[in-house]
Amino acid sequence: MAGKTYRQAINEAILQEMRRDSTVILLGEDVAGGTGAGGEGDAWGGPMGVTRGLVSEFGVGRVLDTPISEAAYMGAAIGAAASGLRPIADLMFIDFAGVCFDQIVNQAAKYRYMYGGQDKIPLTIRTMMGAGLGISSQHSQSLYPIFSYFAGLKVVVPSGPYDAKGLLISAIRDDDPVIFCEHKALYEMVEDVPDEPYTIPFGEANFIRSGGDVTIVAMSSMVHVATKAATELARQGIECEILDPRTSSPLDTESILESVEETGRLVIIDESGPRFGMASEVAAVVAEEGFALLKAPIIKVTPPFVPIPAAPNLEQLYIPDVAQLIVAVNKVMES
Amino acid sequence: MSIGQLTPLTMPKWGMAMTSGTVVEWLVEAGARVTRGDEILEIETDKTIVAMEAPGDGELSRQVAQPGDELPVGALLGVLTEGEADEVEIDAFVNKFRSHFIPQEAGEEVDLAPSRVEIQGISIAYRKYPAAENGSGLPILFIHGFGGDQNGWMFNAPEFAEQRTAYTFDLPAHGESSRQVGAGTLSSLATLVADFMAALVIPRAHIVGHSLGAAIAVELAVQNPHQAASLVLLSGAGAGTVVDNKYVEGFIAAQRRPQLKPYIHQLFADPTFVTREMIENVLKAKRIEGTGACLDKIAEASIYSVEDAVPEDKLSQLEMPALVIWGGQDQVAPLGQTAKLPANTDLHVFEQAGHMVHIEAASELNAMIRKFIENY
Repeated sequence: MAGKTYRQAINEAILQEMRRDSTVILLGEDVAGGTGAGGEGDAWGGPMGVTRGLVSEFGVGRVLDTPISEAAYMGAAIGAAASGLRPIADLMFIDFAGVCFDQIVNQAAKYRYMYGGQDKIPLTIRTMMGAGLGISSQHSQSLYPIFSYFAGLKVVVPSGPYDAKGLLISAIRDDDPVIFCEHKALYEMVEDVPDEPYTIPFGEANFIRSGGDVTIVAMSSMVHVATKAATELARQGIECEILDPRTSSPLDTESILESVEETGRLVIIDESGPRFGMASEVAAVVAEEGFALLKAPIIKVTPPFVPIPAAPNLEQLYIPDVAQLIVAVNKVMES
Repeated sequence: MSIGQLTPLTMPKWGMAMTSGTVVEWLVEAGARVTRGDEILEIETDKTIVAMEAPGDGELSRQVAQPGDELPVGALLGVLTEGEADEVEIDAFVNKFRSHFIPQEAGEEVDLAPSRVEIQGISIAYRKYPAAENGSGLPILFIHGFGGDQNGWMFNAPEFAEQRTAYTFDLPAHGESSRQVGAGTLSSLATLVADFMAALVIPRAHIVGHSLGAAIAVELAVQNPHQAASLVLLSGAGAGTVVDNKYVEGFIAAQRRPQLKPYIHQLFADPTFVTREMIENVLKAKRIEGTGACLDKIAEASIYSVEDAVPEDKLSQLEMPALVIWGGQDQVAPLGQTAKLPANTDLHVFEQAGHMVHIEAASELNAMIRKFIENY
């Protein structure tokens, strides 16, 4: 076991699965880099360099640079999945999902159901989300709750390198379409990651920290905001339990309720929007199934209901932070 | 110790991940006489509360740390004085210690990753806890049980460094060792341990085994009597009943936290020892590809086929002294029949502990092992 970045963990998961299973292919914009452009082959590996090195081992037959048409390559990936391959389609930014939305939600998600289970779509869509890089409104959104709406899709939101590798291997081996949402602010994060392949089951929350006063539900990069806030709050004598659901669909409501049963207080911090988002969903589950457990009203800590600003100072104000979470926790503690 | 010898009492490091601890309370008044091994101070870690023992004889002349203080590993907690020392000397000692102390930064863990050695083609992860300067005693080697790993010894192995070097390692297909087990029989695992000792140039050691590790230790001692100076057998050989196959099968099959949780709970008498982090760590090891098949193989070869929990024939062959330890509340291998133990074998039962006696009764057990092996 060695320290690996989120980027390396994802690359290693793809590499090991491509070695293990010759039906696994990778396609998307710039995933190889330079192919057909007369430039240096394998120079890119996507804008964040996540898939760098793969085309050298597996060749352009299995690592395919596609034209800039999400609708075209997503359709191709779904067709490939329906006809026996196990594709990983790279949707560079989740914000671009609109261009291939029909392919994903009307074709991939419903295929197995509509054909009575006679066929399957073992497709993984890797995509990048999250604010913080100053790349404006159409490249920074955390749209994973949109996909969690659809029955037939599984949605994975890893918060660190260990989870990223194990969940991506589970995604690639899954026989249903999985949307794998990488947070662009996490690629440099380092954690111990086993060298061997391993799988983490979907729908199993990770208890990041135990504490008896308040339950904090957080996903993706918000887990780290929650960890910092909990350390600070512990100095004030407030013990927070941090729960990372790891996947928004399926959602481990059992663990969330188990924790709220112990604490009686719930704060949800999330980078997706304040309306119809992840925080709203978790709040609804607990209000519906665990209302009697609550000692105080649930608080959601989310960005404001605005497009994401490009100006770095405004963008930082947009992203939920440690100070806001501490205020929210103190507030639930007062009740 | 010479006259006027001052010894710093410092925040211990129980486990690789421990970077700090919180003082709960002093168990001994300032100024009181203590004897080596006495419990003097309770310390809370992320995982549990453990009593710290006096490292030597003397007077607890200063309680520097106060209840509630959270201090980094290595920080000064108090001063132990053997012989005469006045307040001025003690003040000077405390000030000097403080001005020289550099706390280890979180994340600066140099020894977080275990070392590795290849034995019979299997990569074995291990840790060495080197003896203190004057610690010239025979080394002590710890063998963990089925489904566990070397981190289970975090409250034990570091506590022997004053007298001797301690070694822990992950059995094949456990912890961070590679997912290969060979035949998976007690005999093949014992050979692997013997080869491990040879590779690390440990000609002879005191062997402490827990559960399956105790059975391996007995096998090792029968095969290679010269390698084991003494045996400490915890919850695994010499008493007790045969482990229920259903328990082992269920443990291997459990893939998720809610499935695994009851199996981990059964290991302890006191449920507060079981943390979610502990369960997640067991799951982390089990998730690695190939683990299930390897555990099945070990269980088939070394657990399911064992008909006699009390291998008297083997115990009676032992040439070295042995100490058999059991937890009175063991639910996995309950204390039932007791073997007719050979003359040089003692049995001790910790009434309040469960199967994980080395965690639940760590400081008492450490003291008992220390006393036992000192004679050999």
